[in-house]
Amino acid sequence: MKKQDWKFMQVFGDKASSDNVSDEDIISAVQFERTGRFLGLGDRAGRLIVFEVPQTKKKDKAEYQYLTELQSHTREFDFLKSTDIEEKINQLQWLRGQGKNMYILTTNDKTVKLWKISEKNVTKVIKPSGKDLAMPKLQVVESGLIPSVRKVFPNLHNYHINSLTASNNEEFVLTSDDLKVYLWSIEQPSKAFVAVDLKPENLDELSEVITSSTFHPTLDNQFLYTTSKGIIKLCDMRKSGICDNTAITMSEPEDPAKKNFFTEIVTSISDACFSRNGKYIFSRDFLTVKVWDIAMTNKPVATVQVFEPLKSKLCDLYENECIFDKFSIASTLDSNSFITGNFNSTFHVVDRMGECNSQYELNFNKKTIVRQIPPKYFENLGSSYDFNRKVQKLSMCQTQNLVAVACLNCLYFYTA
Amino acid sequence: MPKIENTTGMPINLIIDELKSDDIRKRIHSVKHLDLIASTIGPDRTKNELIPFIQELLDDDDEVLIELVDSLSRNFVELVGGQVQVLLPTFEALCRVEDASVREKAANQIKKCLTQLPDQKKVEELSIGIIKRLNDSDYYMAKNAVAILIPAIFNQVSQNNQNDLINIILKMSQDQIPQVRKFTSMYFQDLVKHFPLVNETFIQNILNSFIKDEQDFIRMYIVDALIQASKTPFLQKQQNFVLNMFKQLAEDQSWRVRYYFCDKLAEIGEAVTKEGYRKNFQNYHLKFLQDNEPEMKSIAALKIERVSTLMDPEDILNKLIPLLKSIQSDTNAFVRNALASSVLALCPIIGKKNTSEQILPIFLTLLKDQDSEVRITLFKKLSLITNVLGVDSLSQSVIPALTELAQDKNWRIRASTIEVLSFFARAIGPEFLSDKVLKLLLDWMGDKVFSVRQTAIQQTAQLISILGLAWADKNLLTKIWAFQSIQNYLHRLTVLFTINQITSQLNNEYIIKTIVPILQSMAKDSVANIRSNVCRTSIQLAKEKGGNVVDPMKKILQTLSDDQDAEVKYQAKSALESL
Repeated sequence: MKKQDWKFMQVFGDKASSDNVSDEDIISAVQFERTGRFLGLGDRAGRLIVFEVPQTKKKDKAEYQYLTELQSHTREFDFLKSTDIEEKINQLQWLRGQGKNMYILTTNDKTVKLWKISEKNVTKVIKPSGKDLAMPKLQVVESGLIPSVRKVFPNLHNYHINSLTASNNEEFVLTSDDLKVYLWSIEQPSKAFVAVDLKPENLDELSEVITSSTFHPTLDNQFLYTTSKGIIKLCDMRKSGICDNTAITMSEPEDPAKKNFFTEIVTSISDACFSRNGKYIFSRDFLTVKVWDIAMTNKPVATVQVFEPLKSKLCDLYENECIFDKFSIASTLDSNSFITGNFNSTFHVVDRMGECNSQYELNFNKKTIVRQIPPKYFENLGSSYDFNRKVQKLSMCQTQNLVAVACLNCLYFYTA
Repeated sequence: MPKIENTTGMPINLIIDELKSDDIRKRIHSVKHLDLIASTIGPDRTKNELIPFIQELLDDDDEVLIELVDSLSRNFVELVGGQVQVLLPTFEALCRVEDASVREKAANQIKKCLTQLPDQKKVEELSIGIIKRLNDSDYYMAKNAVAILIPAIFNQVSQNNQNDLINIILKMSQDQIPQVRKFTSMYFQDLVKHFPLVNETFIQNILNSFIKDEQDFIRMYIVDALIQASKTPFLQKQQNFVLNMFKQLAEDQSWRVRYYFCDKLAEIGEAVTKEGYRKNFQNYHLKFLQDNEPEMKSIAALKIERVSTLMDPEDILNKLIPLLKSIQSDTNAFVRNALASSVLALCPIIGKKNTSEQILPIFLTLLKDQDSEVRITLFKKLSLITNVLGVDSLSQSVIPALTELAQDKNWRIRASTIEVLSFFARAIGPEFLSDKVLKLLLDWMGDKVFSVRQTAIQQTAQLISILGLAWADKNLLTKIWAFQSIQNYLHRLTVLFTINQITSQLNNEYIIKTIVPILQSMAKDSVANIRSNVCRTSIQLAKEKGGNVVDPMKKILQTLSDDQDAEVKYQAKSALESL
């Protein structure tokens, strides 16, 4: 397998702003649009920011530029539970554009919204209809890319929404919260279909929650969901209505010898994705990535330690609560490698056999800083190792080898 | 042309201004009254000013657009002075919006407008223009309207144009965007109706490409297209093709496609005739009843009622009924509910003896089902089995079940059960409404929950209309009038509400003989609310019945106009004034 070399391409953000980052600017969701021409970003302040590659005649890879932004969600108060509903964007999903219009689904913990960004003229009435009952005269006050909310889906979920994906044919949207996975259609939001229901009869007996879900990249009938017990379930909508009954389960049984206080926490899967060709599943838990071949579901084909030195720091990580951080994972275009984030402004590109683990360090000097991490690697993580610089969100472009990586409030692009 | 009256309470120019208000509710309100604006400014100005202005409204929220398309559908043809083609550009623009219901309504309005144009050549020119423009649009959603319009005008255009339209459909059926293929599949059933104007090869090619499509929702609609095709000579010419394709759909990997097939079984049966159904599809229905997926079992059970008319009674006995035994105890309540709604339809077909031996046990099991919905569904179809077996034999089992439902903890169940009574009265007649059943009705009249009492009162009115006042008086009403002496005033109110509800069915002698004394006595009730309702009842009786009822009512109202309670006094006085 040809090893891929990723190189720095572009960064949004600089050292100054990154040192004094305010909580609300932290990027919480990233996604490329299907053609790669646009990129959407969501942050903790509930904003959606869109970047684009301007259409130029130049053949070489043009750079992304800021295009527009909108305030997607605002802080709300849940009267029933007496808690705040954060405006942080949890996930984005681009939908097929029509003409010059862009459509994006965004979600926070509770509410999914469908945004449309289009070129239009905003008009204002300058002369109202008078006694002669003439039509009001209008004047264009603003022209350009104007966002508008097309649909709002407020009451879909009882618990916090963790994932939002659309099927390839965009007929269905898959959203999951802690206990349920819903399938619904944008046209008929009132009819959400429960695909998976993990709610036990007695909530006190709750031991397992859903942590993420995603559709298959090309087959519209298949999706997977992951749980806090490190289990992946692959479901086929064709086989049955309630998909959980006929799902294929992928999980590795715990080795009782290695069990310790942290085992339960670190086996919780934070994110999982299909490889681009749909043959493999990459699942990310706190310390490792497991590569599953869908044709062989009894054990993973590879288990990769992302960054072994973290194992020795589990106590500290528990104290500073970083052990609960969730990292995203994405598959490269050729399905031979995966990319996932880590602490200290680093991200890893690993091939799916787990043989070659490259760690890239994000920096503002436009340099590509990479080193190989051999198996059984150890390093003493000193005080300079920054657990606050987490690379939690990333997105792979579907049309070229281009990945967008987010660290705090900065966005980096790497290409191969 | 009718002039529309302004009932909004607002001046017309304000309504016009609010079409562009910042408040969405005001915009919706103004859009609702577009016909009022049009009617006020007249057809010429509507044509020249209002319709062009509507273009400015097209970029609005879905809610406004839904209201807009409904508003324009009402009587705008008249409002533009009969010049239908003026409306076409607006509807054409509405075919491009994101909301599917707006697009479909707009496309249907275009269809309607085209039928009102007298000049055939004009129809052809306009429709082809619209179709081509929508097809070439950047917005792929616009092809939805194309799929709707092409079948509508296909037989009215020239051969050349027909070929163009065929090519458009061919391209749409292979579009890479799944939604476009979906539009084509959904409306293909309308195009197929034009066979032999659309030729065999074309139909076969399109259906063959759809059946191979990986998208469930595209394969699903083939069922409709095949049903329509079977109603044309296409069936005779290509019988094997049609039957084979139906079979592929019945055996589809995706349960949603099988579900859709099962849902249309009755129509399929009608299209291919009984022999065709029995030979080719009967087994699929029986298989569906044993499917793993509860949704499949549900729809198959639901369809028993309709497909039973296609089956041979012997087959029903030997093949269908044995399968029902496992369904009646299925863990899923929806499945049992579906069975309850259709199993009794088998009774008239298989005769008394078989019903007694085979269906009665199932009936009795479902009657004791733990889910109240199942029991109620069963009740609604009760007449089907009582017609075959007779009421008496069943009343022993039915009455206790009814009593149990009547006392269910959930008030909604109690209310639904009451509605069942009028089914019985209609289907079976007064002999079903024995003392026990009437006692239930009276219990409901005295229920704690107001909704249940209301429903019971409404049912009483229904029963009177079915069984007559004399019967009702003897068996029911006298006991209701006895409620006058109940301590809790809410139940005394029931007397008055009942009178209100059954006013139209009472005759004047009855009123004078029975109702007047009741009202006179209740006019002296200690609770003001009661006396207030006496006013309401009296004025209603006086106005609706007139004649010799008016005087006694006036007397009652006069006594009440000196009441101590201000509200009662006011009501009585204004009632008297209005007489």
